Amino acid sequence: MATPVISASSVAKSFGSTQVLTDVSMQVPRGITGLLGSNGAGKTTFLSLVLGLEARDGGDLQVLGADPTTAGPDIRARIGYSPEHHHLPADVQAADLVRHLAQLHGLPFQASTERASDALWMVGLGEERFRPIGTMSTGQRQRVKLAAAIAHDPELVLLDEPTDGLDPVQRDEMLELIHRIGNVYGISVMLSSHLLDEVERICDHVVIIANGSVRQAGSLDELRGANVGLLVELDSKVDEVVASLRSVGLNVGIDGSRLQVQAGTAPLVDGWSMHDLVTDAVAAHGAGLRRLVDRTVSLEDVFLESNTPFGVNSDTRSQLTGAPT
Amino acid sequence: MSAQIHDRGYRAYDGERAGERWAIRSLALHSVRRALGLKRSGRHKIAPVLTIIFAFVPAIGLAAAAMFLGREIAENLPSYADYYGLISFALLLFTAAVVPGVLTTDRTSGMLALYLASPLTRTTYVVAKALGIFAVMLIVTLGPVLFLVIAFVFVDAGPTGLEFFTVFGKALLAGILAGVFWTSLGMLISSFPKRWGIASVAIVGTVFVMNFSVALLTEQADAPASLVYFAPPMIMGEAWQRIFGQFSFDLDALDGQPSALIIMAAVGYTLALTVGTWWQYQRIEVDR
Repeated sequence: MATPVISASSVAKSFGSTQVLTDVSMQVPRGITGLLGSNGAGKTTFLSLVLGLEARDGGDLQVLGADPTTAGPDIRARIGYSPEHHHLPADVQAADLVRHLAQLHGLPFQASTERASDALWMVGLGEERFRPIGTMSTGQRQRVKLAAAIAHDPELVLLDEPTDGLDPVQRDEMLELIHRIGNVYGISVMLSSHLLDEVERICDHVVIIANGSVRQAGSLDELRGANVGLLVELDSKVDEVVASLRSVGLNVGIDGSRLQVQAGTAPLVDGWSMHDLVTDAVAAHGAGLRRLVDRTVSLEDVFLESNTPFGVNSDTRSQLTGAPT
Repeated sequence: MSAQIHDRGYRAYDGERAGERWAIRSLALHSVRRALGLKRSGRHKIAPVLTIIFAFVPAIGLAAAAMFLGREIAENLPSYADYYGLISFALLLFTAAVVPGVLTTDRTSGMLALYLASPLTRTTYVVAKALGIFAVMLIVTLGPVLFLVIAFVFVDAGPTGLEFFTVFGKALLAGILAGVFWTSLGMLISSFPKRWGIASVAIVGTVFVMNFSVALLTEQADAPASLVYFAPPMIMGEAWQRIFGQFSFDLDALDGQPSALIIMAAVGYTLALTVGTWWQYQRIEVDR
C-alpha cells in the first residue's frame, strides 16, 4: 500500500474531564475518504489534531509523513481546510479572501491572485468573484470556502460538513465538485460528514467514528463486502432449514420467513459455496424456496451495526439518513 | 449566439512556496489594509482618516507658526515633549475605534479558524497582527513628532548639529514606546470580547477610569503619590515627557517621581501588555 496521507494509532484527546477521542486508529490512503459519525462523535476534534491545532494526549499521528504536533506549520502549508461554520468576512470580495489565504499558504502575490481566480472559476463563482461575501448565499459561501481550501494546490483537503445548509440541488453540485477534486485533480480529500448517503456517493474509503473511537475503516467495497451473504425467503419449514444451516457453521438471522445467511467463523467445506449449502438444506427438508439472492448492505447498515452496541436510537438513525423519526 | 464559458481546468502549482515568515508578512500587510480601511466601504475609512488628521494638524500648525512667526516665538510654542498631549485624543480614537476592528472581526467572521489552519500558529498570528497595528500606530505616535523635528530644522527653529541627532533619537524612542504601548493595550482589551463595539467601549472606559480615579485619589483624597503607577496610560504620557527631559505638570503626584522609574514603569507595562496579549491568544476559543 502507498504511504497513507493520515496514519493514526491509538490517538486520544480529552478536554478537561471530557474524553472526546479514546482510541482512534486508522490508515487513510490517497483518494476521497469519508469521516463518518453522528454529531459530537469527535470528527472535528480529529480534524483539529490532523491540522496540529490541538495536542493529542496519547497515541501516534502522522499526516503527510510528519507529526502535526511538531511540524504543524509545514503540514498546514500542504493542507486545505474548509471549516463547518458559514461565517466569512461580509465586506471582503471572494477573490480577495481566496487570494489572501493562498498567500498565507506560501504562494507569491502574482501566483495567489491567478490561482484564486482559477479556483473560483472552478467552483462556479467565476462571474461572482468580485462580489462581497456578505451578499452571497449559503451555497455560494460554501463554494468560496472550497475555493479557498484548494487555491494553494494542497496535497490533502479537509472538508468539515461541506454540504451543511445547502438545498438538494446545491448539495449535488457540491458533491460533484468534491468528486472532481479527489478523482480528477488528484488531491486527497477527507470529508467529515454525518450524512451517510453523501459519503456513500463520492467516497472511496470510509472511517466510521463513534463515541471517540474508530468502529469501522476501509474501502467502501470492503465494508460492504464484510457483510455480504445471502437473502433467503422460504414458505415453510423455516426452523428446520435454519437449524441445518447453523449446524454447518453459517450465521443465520431470522425475520419471519426471511433468512439472512452469512459466513460463520468455521470455514466452508472445500468446493462448497454458501449457495450450495442453502439449496441442499432447503432440498433436504423439502421446504419451499421463494427467493435466494445475494444480500447487499448499505453504508447505513454498516454504520448502524457498528453503533448498535453503543446505543444508536431512532434519533441517531434519523440524523444520519435524513429520514423522519 | 450566447457566449460560452469553457472549463479553465485545474493546474497543479509547482512554483515557489514561501514559509511561515511570508505568512506573517502577508497577514501583517493585510492588517495594515484593514486598519486603514483600504478596499473597504467608506465608513471604515472615517476613523483612520480622522486619526491621521488629528495627529498631523498640530504638527503642521506648529511648523507653520514657526516659519511665519520666527524662531523666538516658536521657542514658546508647544514642542516635542508636549506633542503627546496633542495626539492623545488621536491615540485614543485610533486604539478604540480601529484596533478592535482588526482583531474582533477575525473571531466573528470565522477567519481566526482559517488563519490557524494555515502555516500560522497562535503566536505568529499575534505577531503578525501586532506588526500590522503597530505599523499604522506609528503614523500617529512617530510620524507627527518626526515631522515636527525635521520641519523645525527646515524653518530654522529646530536643533542643530549633534543636538539634532539627540532630539531625533528621543523622538524615535518616545514614538516607538508609545506605539508599542497603545498597540498592546488595544490588542489585550480587544482579545476579550468578540464584539467590536464592546471592545471599543472597554478601551475608552479602561483608560478613563484608570486616569480619572488615580487623579481623583491623589489630588482630592490625599492618597499616596505612588498610586500614579496604577494608571498605565498616564505613566506612558509622563514617560514621553521625561524622555525629552521635561515634566508634564498634569499631577502633583507625578512631580516627585524619578524619571528613570517612570520610563521603566512605562516599558514594564508595555512588556506586560504584550505578554498578556500573547497569553490571552494561547487560550482563546476558536469556532470551527
